Amino acid sequence: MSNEEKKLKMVRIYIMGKMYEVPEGLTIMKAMEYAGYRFIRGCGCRGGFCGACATIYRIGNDYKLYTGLACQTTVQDGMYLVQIPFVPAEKPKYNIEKLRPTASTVLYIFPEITRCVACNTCTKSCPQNLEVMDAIQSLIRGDLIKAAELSFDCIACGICSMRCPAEIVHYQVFQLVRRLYGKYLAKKAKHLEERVNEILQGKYAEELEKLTKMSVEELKKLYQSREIET
Amino acid sequence: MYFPGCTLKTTAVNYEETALAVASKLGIELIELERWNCCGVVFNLAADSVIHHIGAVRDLIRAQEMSKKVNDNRLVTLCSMCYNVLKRVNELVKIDSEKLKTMNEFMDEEENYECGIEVLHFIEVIRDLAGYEKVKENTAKPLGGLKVAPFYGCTLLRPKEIGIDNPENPTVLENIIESLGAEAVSFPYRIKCCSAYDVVYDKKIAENRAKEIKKAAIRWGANIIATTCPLCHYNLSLPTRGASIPVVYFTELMAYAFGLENVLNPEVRKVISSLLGEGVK
Repeated sequence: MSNEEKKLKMVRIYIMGKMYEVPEGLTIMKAMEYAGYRFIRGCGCRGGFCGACATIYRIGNDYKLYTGLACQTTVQDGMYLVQIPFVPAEKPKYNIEKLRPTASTVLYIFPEITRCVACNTCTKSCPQNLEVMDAIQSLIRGDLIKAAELSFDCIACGICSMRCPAEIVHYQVFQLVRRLYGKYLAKKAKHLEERVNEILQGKYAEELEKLTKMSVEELKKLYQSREIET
Repeated sequence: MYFPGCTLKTTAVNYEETALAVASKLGIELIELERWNCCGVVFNLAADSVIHHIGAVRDLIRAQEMSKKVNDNRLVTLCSMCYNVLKRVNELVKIDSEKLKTMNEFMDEEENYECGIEVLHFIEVIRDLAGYEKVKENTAKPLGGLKVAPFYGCTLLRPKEIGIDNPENPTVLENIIESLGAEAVSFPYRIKCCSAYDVVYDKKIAENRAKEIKKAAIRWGANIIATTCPLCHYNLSLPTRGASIPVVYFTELMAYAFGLENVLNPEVRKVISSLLGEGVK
């Protein structure tokens, strides 16, 4: 152990029941890698956007079950960690082209929504701090737009669905809600349409082709010298 | 404060729109709760049930939060089912402090419910707050010629501890109807069950029951049925051969009589005006 490491304050965490000492301040993901684990599942963007690293944990003798994203939550002393590789949830198939943008469409595809007893466990478990239950409830009262707004920041980690006593698959529901909202109800962004057309007409084809032919070294150089908005 | 309930926002929009217009005409301000969730639909009768009361208690907490802002502890409902659930849960937690404690502890993200909310149905507000005289005063177009069979159904009246009127012989709807200048047809089936959610399992049961009730209303001389409950409205509106009589919400009749036709569904307006022998405007 180098001198630098000795200076670090260490905390004790438990991974699959085994105790490890890791430096304080690391995220759960980094701490697990520090302990020698290598992620081949349950890890994605490392930036809190993809929802792949759902984690459930307890701390010491606290009775509460906590949730978080491994790439966003820092380790605490006495953390008992459980990484969730994926959520075993039903994923119904539908053809978005043939659906009407109403809450009843969503209730038809996900009838279990009506089993919601407003226990709010989903909301308590959401690492994004969304009002998950209110979003589900707005579907019961026919308000698709409200559901889309309330669930806008959902990253589909699936923790809510694992905690829900009514077996609602919130994150799949919200994906359908936002698809319907985006396709049929949201105001169209003109600049986006223009840009998509430019892409389809091949405006960027040449530039892209140039990039694909570059060597790794050249790409690295280009990336490092890129313009960054400040 | 006003608790709409999910059905008022979906299939019973006409009920809400007319009720809100009528309320404001009577000088009653109904402020919708800023946040609310489904009440639970049906009061759970299991003695050890807790989780099925959570929805209603959470709504009562929402009302409690808002009551401090509006300085009023009354929560008014329109849907009879919501009334029944919210009122019964409210009464339950008042006497069962152990259950309330369990629920308060479960909902550790909310403030505790302190049992200070009073749950009312809009009909009670009309009867006790506005009064029949005020209904009469606001009746710009008396509904003479309309023979209205009031239909109470179950959840407004039973169990009697939470009923808004005599559960066997209610009169409040009759009084409102007569204040509007119409004739109230107090037929004996008015307190029968519409068959409620049997319609989900077997439509035939609901159709048979609807036919029975509508036939009785016609036999007693009614030409229209007025109800207070979206589920009764749905079941009684099922097409029944040989027993054809329109079904409306009592607030739709009130809106018509108060001259608030613009909030009425055009179909309903047509039905009422044709029964009154008026041309459709």
